[in-house]
Amino acid sequence: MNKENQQRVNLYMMANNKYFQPHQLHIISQKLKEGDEDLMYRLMSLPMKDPVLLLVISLLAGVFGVDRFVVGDVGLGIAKLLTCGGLGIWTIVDWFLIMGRAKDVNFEQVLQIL
Amino acid sequence: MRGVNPRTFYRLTLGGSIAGFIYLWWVRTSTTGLLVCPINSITGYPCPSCGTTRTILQILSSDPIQSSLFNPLAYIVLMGMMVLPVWSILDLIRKKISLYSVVSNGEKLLQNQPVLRWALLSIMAIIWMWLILQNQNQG
Repeated sequence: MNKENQQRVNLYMMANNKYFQPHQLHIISQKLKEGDEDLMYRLMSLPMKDPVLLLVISLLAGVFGVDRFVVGDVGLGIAKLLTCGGLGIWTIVDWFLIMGRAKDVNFEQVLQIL
Repeated sequence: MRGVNPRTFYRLTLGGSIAGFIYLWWVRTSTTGLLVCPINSITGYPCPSCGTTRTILQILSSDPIQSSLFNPLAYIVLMGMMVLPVWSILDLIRKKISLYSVVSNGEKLLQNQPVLRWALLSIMAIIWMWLILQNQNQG
């Protein structure tokens, strides 16, 4: 892959590293460099879930399970809602887990087209 | 449940069920009474699961048919609390992961069928509205 495209990949990685877990960044970068420009544009068109936004949602409305609904865990979200945030415990636990979950969901989505 | 391996799933399910029973036992035997839902105390409006504890305790201690419906969703929670631990233990004994498979496929189904998702959420919203209206009539 030529230098211009490599630079483009590096720029993409710098701009989007917050959407993925650290150990996933390397895999994405490798696959992008192996692929063509088309692949990168397809990647850029995917909607990503912002981990920081999810943390805010979790802090504010985590008791209702809204954070889980947003990352796509509808079943878990309903369970969380029915138990009033797992008696509050699940609410607190998700404050710490939700960012990682958002990043994993983003990565799964990306893997489908890489 | 994507990204959760079976072992964690079963630990959480069993742990959560046990925690639920301990909570129920604690509420029943404690004199200080229920931990009030923070949303209810701040805003005065019930959250969708308000009254679940009261409903379950009443179902378990008296005639279920005559129990006043504090919260219909409580029946789902109660069924869950009865079915999930039993199924989990059966799975562990038979060394199968049938519960995990059912839950995973259920989640996938919800992912792929937006109609189902919206149907479920609408039902919950309707029950929530009904709860709020009920509380307003009494309060």
